[in-house]
Amino acid sequence: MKPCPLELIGCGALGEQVYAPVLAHLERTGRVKVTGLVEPAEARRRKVAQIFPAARAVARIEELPANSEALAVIASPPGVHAAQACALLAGGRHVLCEKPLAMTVAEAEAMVAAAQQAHRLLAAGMMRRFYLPTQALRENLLAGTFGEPQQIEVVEGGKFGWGAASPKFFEPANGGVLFDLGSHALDLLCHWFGAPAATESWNDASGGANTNCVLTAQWPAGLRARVRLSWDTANLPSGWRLKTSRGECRWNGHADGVVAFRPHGGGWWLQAAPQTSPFAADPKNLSSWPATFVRQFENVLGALAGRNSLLAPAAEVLPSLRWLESAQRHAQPLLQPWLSATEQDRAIALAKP
Amino acid sequence: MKKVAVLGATGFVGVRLVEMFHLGGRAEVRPIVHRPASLAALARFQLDARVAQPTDAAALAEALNGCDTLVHLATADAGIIREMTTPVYEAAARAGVRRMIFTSSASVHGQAPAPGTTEKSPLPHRHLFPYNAAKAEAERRLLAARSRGSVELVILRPGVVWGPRSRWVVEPLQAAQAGTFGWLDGGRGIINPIYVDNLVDAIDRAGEATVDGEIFLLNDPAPGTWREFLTPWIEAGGMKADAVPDALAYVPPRGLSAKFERIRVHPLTQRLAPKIPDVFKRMVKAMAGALPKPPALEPLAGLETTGSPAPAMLSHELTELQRCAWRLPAEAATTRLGWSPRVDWPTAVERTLGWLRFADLLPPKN
Repeated sequence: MKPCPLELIGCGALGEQVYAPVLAHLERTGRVKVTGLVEPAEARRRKVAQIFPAARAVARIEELPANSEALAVIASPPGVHAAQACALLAGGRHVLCEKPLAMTVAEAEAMVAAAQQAHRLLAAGMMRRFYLPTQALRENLLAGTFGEPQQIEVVEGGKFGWGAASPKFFEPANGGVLFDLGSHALDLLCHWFGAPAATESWNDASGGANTNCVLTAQWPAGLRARVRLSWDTANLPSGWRLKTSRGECRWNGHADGVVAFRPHGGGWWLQAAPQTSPFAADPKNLSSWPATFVRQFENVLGALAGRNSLLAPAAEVLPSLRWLESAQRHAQPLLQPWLSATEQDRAIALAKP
Repeated sequence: MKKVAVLGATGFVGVRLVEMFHLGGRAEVRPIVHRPASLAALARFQLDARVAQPTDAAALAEALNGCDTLVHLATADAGIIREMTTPVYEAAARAGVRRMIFTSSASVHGQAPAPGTTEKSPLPHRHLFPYNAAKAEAERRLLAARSRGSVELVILRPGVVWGPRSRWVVEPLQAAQAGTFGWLDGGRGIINPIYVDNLVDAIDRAGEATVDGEIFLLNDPAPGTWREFLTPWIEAGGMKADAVPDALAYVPPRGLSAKFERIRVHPLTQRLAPKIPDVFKRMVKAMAGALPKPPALEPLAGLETTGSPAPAMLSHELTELQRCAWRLPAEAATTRLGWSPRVDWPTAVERTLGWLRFADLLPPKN
């Protein structure tokens, strides 16, 4: 089988630290051929170009061939996702776009429309859908093994550990922790339970980006959720806790975590993650984080070859993006009880747009 | 409004200082961090933050340009604490900073200072912990730099700094939640605590008072003992103070491997470490691994049959701290800086419990 031509758009921290090694692995195993690299910062572009010497390395997408049937992987800052995706789709490329798909629902809808018009695939980089524990959780929820979901508590984050290459990562326009970690958490909730009927949100933005958020949601069938996200709380007790009509289910939120279930009055059962996956890349490293990215690529490449459908088509991400946008727009101030009354008042005043 | 640069602005004291200065309108704050990712801790504010390595005087001088005051809160391992001291002072001088406030530590007198210790007491020649030795060395280097340089210098020596985000609160809470907390001698040791807001007030005053070249010990009048200090956190964690058992004090290891460890943490070794080739370090490490180890502790008779949980074992640092028998004086700070702790113990506890709930470390208040 001929390797799929692939262009990496964005060689920042994500492109360099995550995509480059995964793509190098896929290239070695003959599944893709990296033909293009796009990065405005010359030093970063050169660094990744050393890994893919045959690729054409350019500063802007306009410098790529106008028409191509390559798969373009967008790993650039979220503010430019929509413009880049629409241009690349119009030129005949298929697109896998990192999360958040876009900063607004309107932008995302334009991207989906551009893909439909060009008859090209537009996949969202919701890699947590490819975690083995989330696949096990979803299978059990759909099968009714855990009973009816009643309440879910999601705590994600801690002290920020991602190797952001630039202070720009923290600019308010990039959506803060809500769009960073919230993209994943809200997507999984919508993927499993559909769009919530009512939501509320609170965050601590005081003139800058939000770094702590609390979101609540309720679904028509009665399920309630509380989502707590943080970029700065070192000891945050992260994890997912789901109370159901039959008991309680827990997952630590990690790619290599396990799903544990305790029926009412019983002990904990470990729900083994699936040992084989339809997208398995390397059976020895099924649970690892890079393997999750490999499975995501295999899903997209399989969809391009007509072997399977996309697990995260862009159109399916719209409900979680609506939730994110609403949470950003209608957020109330998150009270910080260690501040003095004067400081709290000032924090609230600065939160106002 | 004066411009204050903060080195180490994303640590637990730094974050609170930025909150108090920025939200309280005390100064225009410029956080300086060593890597972009650190900015996450302050991203909720719109600030003129800069990225510069504290060991790179030229880059740091550029980051400090236009600032009146530099608050040096940056901490790291002992080697870096020493290494960054001179470049930081040089950078401040090049940038025309008027005054630098160096937040040292009361631990330069040791974790359990001798009765009668004040700011004027000579510092120990030998320190138990590399951190203490590094802070003491940093003070000496800065005072020497001040004697030659133009930037005014004030050195603060706070005791146990606590408050929201502090390990002194989170660790006992989590130990109590796990049922593994224990007292040392019933918690009777003297603590020299300072609530983080009160330290920030002292830093603020140190920036203005006529105290160039002076050193100040800082602590709050309450609480007085480790038991009083730890009780709110362990009770929030579900243990009753009166029912807490005693922990095992740290016992220094003996034998060849302990001697090797003493050499490893010695200030001279720490100073030379960056210059030693990795190959040599690996060889020494392998040799140290082959040294005979002290015998493992046998389980205490009776514990395994009674079903009692194993007693908690305190770290070396906590053991020394809880053996403290001297209340360090803060009179110099009161008279010379005009400082007094504004946030009292009950308010500080309430605010910190509020942060623990905010951080999901405690359930919401009913």
